Amino acid sequence: MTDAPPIIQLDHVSKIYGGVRAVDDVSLSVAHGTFLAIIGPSGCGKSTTIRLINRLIEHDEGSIRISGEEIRSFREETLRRRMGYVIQSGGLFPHWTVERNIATVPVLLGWKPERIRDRVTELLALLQLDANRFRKAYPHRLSGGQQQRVGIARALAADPDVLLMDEPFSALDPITRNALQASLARIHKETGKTIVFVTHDMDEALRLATQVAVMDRGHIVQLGTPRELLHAPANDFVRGFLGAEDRGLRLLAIETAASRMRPVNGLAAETPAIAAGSDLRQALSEMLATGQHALRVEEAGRVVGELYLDDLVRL
Amino acid sequence: MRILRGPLPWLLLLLVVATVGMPATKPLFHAMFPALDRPMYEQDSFTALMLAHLWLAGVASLVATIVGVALGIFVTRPAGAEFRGMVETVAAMGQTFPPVAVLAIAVPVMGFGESPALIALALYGLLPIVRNTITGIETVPADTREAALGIGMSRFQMLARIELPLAAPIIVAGIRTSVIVNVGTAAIASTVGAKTLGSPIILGLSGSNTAYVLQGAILLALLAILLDVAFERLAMWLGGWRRPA
Amino acid sequence: MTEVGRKRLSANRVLLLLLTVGAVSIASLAFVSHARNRLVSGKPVGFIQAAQLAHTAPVTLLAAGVLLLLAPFLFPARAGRWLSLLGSGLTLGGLGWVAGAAAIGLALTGSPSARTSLGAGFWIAAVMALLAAGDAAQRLRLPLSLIWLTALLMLGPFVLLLGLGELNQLSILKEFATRHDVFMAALLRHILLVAGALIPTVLLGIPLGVAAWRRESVRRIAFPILNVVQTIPSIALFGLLIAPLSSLSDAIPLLPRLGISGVGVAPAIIALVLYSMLPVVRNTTEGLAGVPATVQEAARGMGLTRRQSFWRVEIPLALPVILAGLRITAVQAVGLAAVSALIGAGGLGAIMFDGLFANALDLVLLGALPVIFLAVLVDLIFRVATGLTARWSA
Repeated sequence: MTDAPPIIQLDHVSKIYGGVRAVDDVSLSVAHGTFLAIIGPSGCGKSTTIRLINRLIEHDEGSIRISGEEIRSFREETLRRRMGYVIQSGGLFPHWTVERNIATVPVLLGWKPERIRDRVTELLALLQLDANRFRKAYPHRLSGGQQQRVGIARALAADPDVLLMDEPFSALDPITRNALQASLARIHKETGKTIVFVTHDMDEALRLATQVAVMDRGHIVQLGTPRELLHAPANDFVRGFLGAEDRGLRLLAIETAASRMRPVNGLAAETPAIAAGSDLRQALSEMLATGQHALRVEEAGRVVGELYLDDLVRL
Repeated sequence: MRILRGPLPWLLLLLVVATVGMPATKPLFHAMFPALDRPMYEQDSFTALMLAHLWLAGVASLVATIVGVALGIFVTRPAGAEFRGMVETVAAMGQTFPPVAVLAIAVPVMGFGESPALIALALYGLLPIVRNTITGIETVPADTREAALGIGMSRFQMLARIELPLAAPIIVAGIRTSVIVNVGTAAIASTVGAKTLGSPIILGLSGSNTAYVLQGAILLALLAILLDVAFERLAMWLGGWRRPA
Repeated sequence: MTEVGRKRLSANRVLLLLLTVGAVSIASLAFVSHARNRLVSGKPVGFIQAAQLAHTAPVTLLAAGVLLLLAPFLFPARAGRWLSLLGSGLTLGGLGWVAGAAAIGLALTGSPSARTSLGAGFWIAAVMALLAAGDAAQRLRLPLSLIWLTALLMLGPFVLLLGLGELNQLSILKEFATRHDVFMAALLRHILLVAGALIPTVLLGIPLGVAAWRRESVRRIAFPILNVVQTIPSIALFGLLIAPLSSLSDAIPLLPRLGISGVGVAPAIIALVLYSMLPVVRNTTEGLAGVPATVQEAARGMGLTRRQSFWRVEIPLALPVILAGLRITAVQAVGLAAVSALIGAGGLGAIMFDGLFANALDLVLLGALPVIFLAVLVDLIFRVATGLTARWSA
């Protein structure tokens, strides 16, 4: 596996608009199955970068390779059909039903009708959309969150190697966004797709991504796991972007209760309990709310450990 | 039979009956205009006039539609973008020209007869179609386009599957304007030597024969109303996806 | 290639096309055509021959105009476009002068009844010059007030030539000279027909539009009727009005003495008003409906009564849309008034149709060209007015 070329590889890539280097000497290597979040303030070049990958914008310098092959060696359409693409507004085709929207790429690829039908059914289920209700509906009848679910289903339809997502959830309300983030995390886990995800929301990036690239003025300022970023921000810009005051809480948010708990040692049965999969921030919140300095950790209804306030602050 | 609902089939029936059966109404016109020796236009059959009229307006509209939509598509592609400003200016300016004056000018430039009339009608009819094609394609949201390309459509697939279907209601509105104007102007084309439903009207006006005028005018008005209603139906059908379910 | 370089090339592609079409048509089609009298058809005179007849000055003006037209090829900035705009005006004037001077030259050799009319080559080249001007003006993004300047620039040389009598030997002007009085009367009648239709349209249409905005029931009845009327071809509507009006005037002896009968000015104005209603009513309703609810709420919230809010807030905000409706109506009425000549209403249409029925092509032009000119002028006047109100109400 280690010999296989990275699925996406950018080498010294630049894009210049009228003398301004919107993307400046970016190098990036994305291994198979990675969930990469590109994050930065508006105008930092993050959206341009993902458009360079599917050639909606052509890069001016450097090289971009997909599974080792230069992207310009493909026809544009062939390249893009290998990559799902999701944009902020969903971009659903308003004159087509949900089914026809999801089937866009399979139709372009000439799949058989039965196969397309089955695939649509499968994807509606994956995105938790009721097939009976939504299959024949037109996009304008759908809520923003439902539209975005269809957008993701459409991007996944032909089983692409890579999913490119440009701020897909930033126009949604917090509750809907939370639900879609959970769905995306589940899909990433189930399908193992490589995902490149542009966002300006640090919590979103830390929650979903396995790798985070922080961009500023066309450069990648830091690339690392969420944990690496939080523990060792490369400079003040990254530190500022992580939120100077919230950094500690964010550190808690990327680890689960299970990872810090100690063996069961007879905490009283009335001590509040927390699920093993909860993050440490939720654990802290529970302690503050209940006035306890210890919690029982449960998994599948069974107590599997104990978590103390001291465990949270231990780095 | 959904098609039988609404006024469309009945208008069509009325038009056919009125055209074919017009000569049978001679006694009626006789009674209405007792002073006239010949109360029924008989130089040509009304059926022939109707067909000639439809031919003239139809061919002109067809040419205008093909050229107009093609031109509208061309100037909204990157390759034709620089011509767009000029095309839009011409279309906007040209539409202020009264169609009857355009028709009249065709005679000194191209001579009398059916073909100069045809060319004048086609040229004039082009303008609303070009304009609406450009507007229609322009109204396709930028993110819809980006999604289409990003998902892997070629530019041609995007045009055929996304841009044109979404622009269709607006393009058809342009064609409707063009056809209605052409039907009316084709009637006036009988003054430049084309046989149309305008012939009995013009002859009646110049010879003070109100019966002729009425016969031509009724058929002409019916034809225009029928076409307008037909386009209305077409527009509803094309915009079907907009309707709340 | 840099962005700037691409833009320069693109400016040239449109101009290149226009120049090519103009040059090809001048080289291959008749520039003017010459006939011994108005009964025989003319012989084509090519541009070279016309230029030889015209001598140096007109040809020099034309050459200067064409050279200036080429300016955007050399200077890509605004300066080049301004020069190009000036160049198209001079080109247009030069074309006219060459044609006029050639006609004078031909008149010296031929009989007094000989006629020189403008050929297809002239017309196409003139249209190309106008399009070049339009393209330059578009790229300069001229504000509305400066559009007048452009129009002046385009027509100035022509008006000057007319004033100097340089074009007098062209057949259309000969026709004008012999029918000066008839033409002026027809022009006046045409303007009166349009005004006579517009005034009742405004007085009836705007209140109807307001009523339609207030009441769904008015909307449901008025719009389908007006739509159908607008769909009926003008000539058919004129025709359909003849019978009832003439029987009415037969029945009531007073009416013919008031000038109301089946043919003439009365049915023309009635038909014009019927046609003109739809754009005015529709735009009044749409304009009022387009006033944002928040603005109305704010007006009421500040203590304006309903009536005050209507006159001081709704109407001023809706005015640009209402004026746009009036513009459509007025431009449309100029053309319909020409058709109304067929029912004896007179106007420029009468000259045009006389020419068509008598196979007198110069007469057709004498009628049709002023109709087009009038329509464009009316359009321009209303656009400027709309632009002004949009500015102060915005």
